[in-house]
Amino acid sequence: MADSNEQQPSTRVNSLHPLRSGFGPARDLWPQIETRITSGRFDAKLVATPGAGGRHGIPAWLAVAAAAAVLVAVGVWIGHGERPLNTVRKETENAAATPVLASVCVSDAQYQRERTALLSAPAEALSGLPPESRQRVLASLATVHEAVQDIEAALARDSSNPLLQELLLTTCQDETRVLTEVQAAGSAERAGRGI
Amino acid sequence: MRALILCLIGSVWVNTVCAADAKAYSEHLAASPTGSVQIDNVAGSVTVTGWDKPEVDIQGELGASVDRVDVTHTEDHIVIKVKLQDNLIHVPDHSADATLQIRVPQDSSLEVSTVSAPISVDGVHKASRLHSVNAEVHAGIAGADVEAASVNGNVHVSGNPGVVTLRASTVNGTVFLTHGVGDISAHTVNGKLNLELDGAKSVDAGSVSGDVVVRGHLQPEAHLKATAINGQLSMKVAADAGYKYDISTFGGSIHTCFGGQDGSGPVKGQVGQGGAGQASVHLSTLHGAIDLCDK
Repeated sequence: MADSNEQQPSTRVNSLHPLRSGFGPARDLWPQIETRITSGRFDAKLVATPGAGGRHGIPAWLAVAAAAAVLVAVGVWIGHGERPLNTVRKETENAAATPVLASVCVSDAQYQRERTALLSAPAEALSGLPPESRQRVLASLATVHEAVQDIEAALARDSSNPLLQELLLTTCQDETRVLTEVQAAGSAERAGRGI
Repeated sequence: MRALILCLIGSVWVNTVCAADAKAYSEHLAASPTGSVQIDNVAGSVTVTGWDKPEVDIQGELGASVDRVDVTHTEDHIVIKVKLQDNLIHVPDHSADATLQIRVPQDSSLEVSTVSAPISVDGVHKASRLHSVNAEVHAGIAGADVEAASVNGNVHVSGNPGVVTLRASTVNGTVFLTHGVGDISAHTVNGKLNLELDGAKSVDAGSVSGDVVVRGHLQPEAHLKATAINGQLSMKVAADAGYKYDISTFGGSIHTCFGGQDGSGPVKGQVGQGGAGQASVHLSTLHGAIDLCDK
């Protein structure tokens, strides 16, 4: 992490002002996602309607284009954010020594775009799962979301706390991991059904 | 009483019909001893065992809603995919189950993906990538590079001296690791991490909502990092030449067995023989308690 900062000094965050203003999407996407998922959109039917129109009446070309866009976003993000295991050592050392948060999770605009793309994807990815499984996944996404909010609230009171910054980074990475795994789960499920 | 008897008869009838509908499946093909095998299944189970033959053997039972098993073989790569009947979504009974027992060359690279089918793998020496939704993953006698993940299910991994990297994660569930060696990464959102180390080189463990319990031994230059947002960290770890540690929590409490370090932290210190070792332990929580001891 420290190496990448040295290579790209312009992206380094030296104060909390840019960090806070650039942290989240322009709006909280969670209520919308939850509404979409819990609405009638995912009424499970034993047998879906066959045909080119797709399961939700979306034109096939549009569904393919959307899926391609999401896959590209996931691919780019995974490549961008993946941490080899041997970086744990450096990160551990830096976390204790460096109060500056040089986080792809918080400060990187590209991350924010990809995160938004991923956040809009679970609804589609989850549609193939049994209802109770879907609920459990949603509960976990909510858990991560609440954890992020908890840390943000604490940061609002103690904005220079390096521990909170480290925990926020870790939780953001957890969120990404969950979203990516949910995406992969949805793909596996659809592949099995030949969709 | 009459209703109970009718229910029992009904249950037996349903099971009999389901069993009658299951089709046996068998396939045997030559394989590269160091090739790769990919397995996809939607429901049922997948059990994979490594063996010393350059062959792949598939035995199984397919439910009535299973359309076919596609097996494709290209150069060093074999793909085994269970296909359900077209447009099938949620099947309330077990008719979509495909129960597969597969033997692969022990030096194969393995990739298994299931939706509602537990995965069990044993004796595959190279890389294994095991992913499941709604089911448990068991990786016994793990290979050199193991990635085991479940969305709704527990993950059980058993390491051995040959393991280099070991990644285990779940969204809803607990990660159970025994004989943890090499570079270890373990994460969960709603669940626990229960890690037994046996000479780990690096450990990165994290839970959003759940406790993290780590027991065992670190290599002399190992680094352990554990984080919990709403959960406790309970660590009993030792290293031959000791280790440095730093512990911090935002709203939890800290306890160590090193004396005089109880409170809310942060705490730094060193255990062992005069700092000869380069190992380090870094622990942090938002709300949970942290407990560290070297014995």
